[in-house]
Amino acid sequence: MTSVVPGNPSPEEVRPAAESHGDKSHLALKKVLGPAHIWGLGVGIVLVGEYMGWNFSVQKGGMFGALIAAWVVGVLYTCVAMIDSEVTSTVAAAGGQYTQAKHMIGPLMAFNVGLFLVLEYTMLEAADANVMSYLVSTIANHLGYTGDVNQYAFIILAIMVLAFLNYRGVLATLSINMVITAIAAIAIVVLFVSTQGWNPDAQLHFHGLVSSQANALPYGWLGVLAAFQFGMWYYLGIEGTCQAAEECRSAARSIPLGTMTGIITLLMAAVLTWYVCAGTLPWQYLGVSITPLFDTALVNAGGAVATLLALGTVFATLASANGCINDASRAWFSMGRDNYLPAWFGAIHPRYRTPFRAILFLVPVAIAFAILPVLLNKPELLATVITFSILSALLMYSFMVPNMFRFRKLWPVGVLHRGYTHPLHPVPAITLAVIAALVLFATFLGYGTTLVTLVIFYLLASIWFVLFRYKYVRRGQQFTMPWPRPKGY
Amino acid sequence: MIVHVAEYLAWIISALLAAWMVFDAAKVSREHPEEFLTTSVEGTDELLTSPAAERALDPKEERS
Repeated sequence: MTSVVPGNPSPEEVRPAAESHGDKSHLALKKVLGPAHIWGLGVGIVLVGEYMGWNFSVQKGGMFGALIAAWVVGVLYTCVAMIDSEVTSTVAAAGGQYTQAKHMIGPLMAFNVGLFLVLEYTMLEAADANVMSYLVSTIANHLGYTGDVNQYAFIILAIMVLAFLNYRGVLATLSINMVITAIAAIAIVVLFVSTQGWNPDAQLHFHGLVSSQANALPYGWLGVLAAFQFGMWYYLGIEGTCQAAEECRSAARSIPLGTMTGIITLLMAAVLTWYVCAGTLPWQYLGVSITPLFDTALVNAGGAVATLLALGTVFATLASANGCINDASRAWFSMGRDNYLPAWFGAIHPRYRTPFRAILFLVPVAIAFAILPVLLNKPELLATVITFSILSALLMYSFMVPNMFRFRKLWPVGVLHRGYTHPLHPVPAITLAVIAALVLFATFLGYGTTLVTLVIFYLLASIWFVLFRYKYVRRGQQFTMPWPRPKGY
Repeated sequence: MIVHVAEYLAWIISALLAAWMVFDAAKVSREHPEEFLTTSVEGTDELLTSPAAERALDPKEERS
């Protein structure tokens, strides 16, 4: 029984928000997003990796190792973007790759993919919030403050403000994301222009790289392989565009346009970032720098450009955490809606039309992982948290390969309307499989224990699902897309 | 000094936002039946389901 209270929507107000589905009214996520929002979501999650993190690949493989990693991992993510654009342009549902798995493979795979997604984005959000508090501390020190800044306060503030934004509605959330992401992306171009990047002899210096292998490839090809793990930072999260499919005015148009322009933006940003940083900072310093782009701006330009890059660093971090909250909550919500998790999580707010319970539930999880490195006074734990995110993403990319083959086999081109059809199938899927295996191996070399721990976690979660949740999954209702009968069935 | 003020402000704002979200979520759950809040179904894309789009995207139409 619904009651009417001031400030709360009456059943009559709710009615327009509910959409008619046959003879039964139902709540739905708001369809308000366009290609620019999708671009902002995808690039926003990732761009922080250009501002910090990618440069650890320099520590592993030297300057050229980092550049090769940017190219090779760039190919991996171009394949991811192409495959996701095609499949999601037909699967217009929240949950992205989880929903794909549900339609194409089966419940156990879908449950695992859903968990990969939630862990990937929640861990990334936790790392972003941790970095945000570090940035506040750094800014305070630059302003002359010599004491310790309370990191807990700013970690929790960042997560709370962004969760609140997400709770209140997707349009404002992703519009803000689009604007701050665009500013952060433009800042990289401004840095390139201010260093006269088109004239390598003006301010940038590459002589040391071409004249000495000790500078360019200090650890040889093994170093290049090790650099792949951190090369992921240039692009990790672009696949998050799929989570917004159900909220697009037209997923068939917005998802491919937003995702493909997003990966093009990131490929350009990655190369520009490497170019200005490699031409400015010695590799020994660049490999351990916390804020390489800002440091490059300080050395090369200073003044207004350095301030813009500082602003870009803060905006990129906020945009990433913001996009992660959006994506993790959609994946969690979708799993609740399908009874893979308690159905309670599948609720939509009648006024804001957001998955409010999923958003709220993941807040303490993100805070716990964000404050862990501070609480235990082990800053190195931040790398472990980020590695959880990277490994979950890699496991998901591994799923995308059989998923793509199955999609094309069951619904060949011409049988099903696609918003985008990627060329050269199966080359992108095979390329994705080979490079993902290479990066997994490289990550295993650096973080073998973390990888094994994570695999055990997913194994235990799968056992829990089979024993305790599978009985609630309504298999007959899993297939929701208005597609023709699959070929061979 | 200003850092301490910022820290206190951060705690206060965080607490207010958390309290508002929890309160609102509880209120919504109390005032609307669970069957209504959890009735969403996976969406479909109008571009792919409208008759006009069906005709426009139909490969047979394109060939003719």
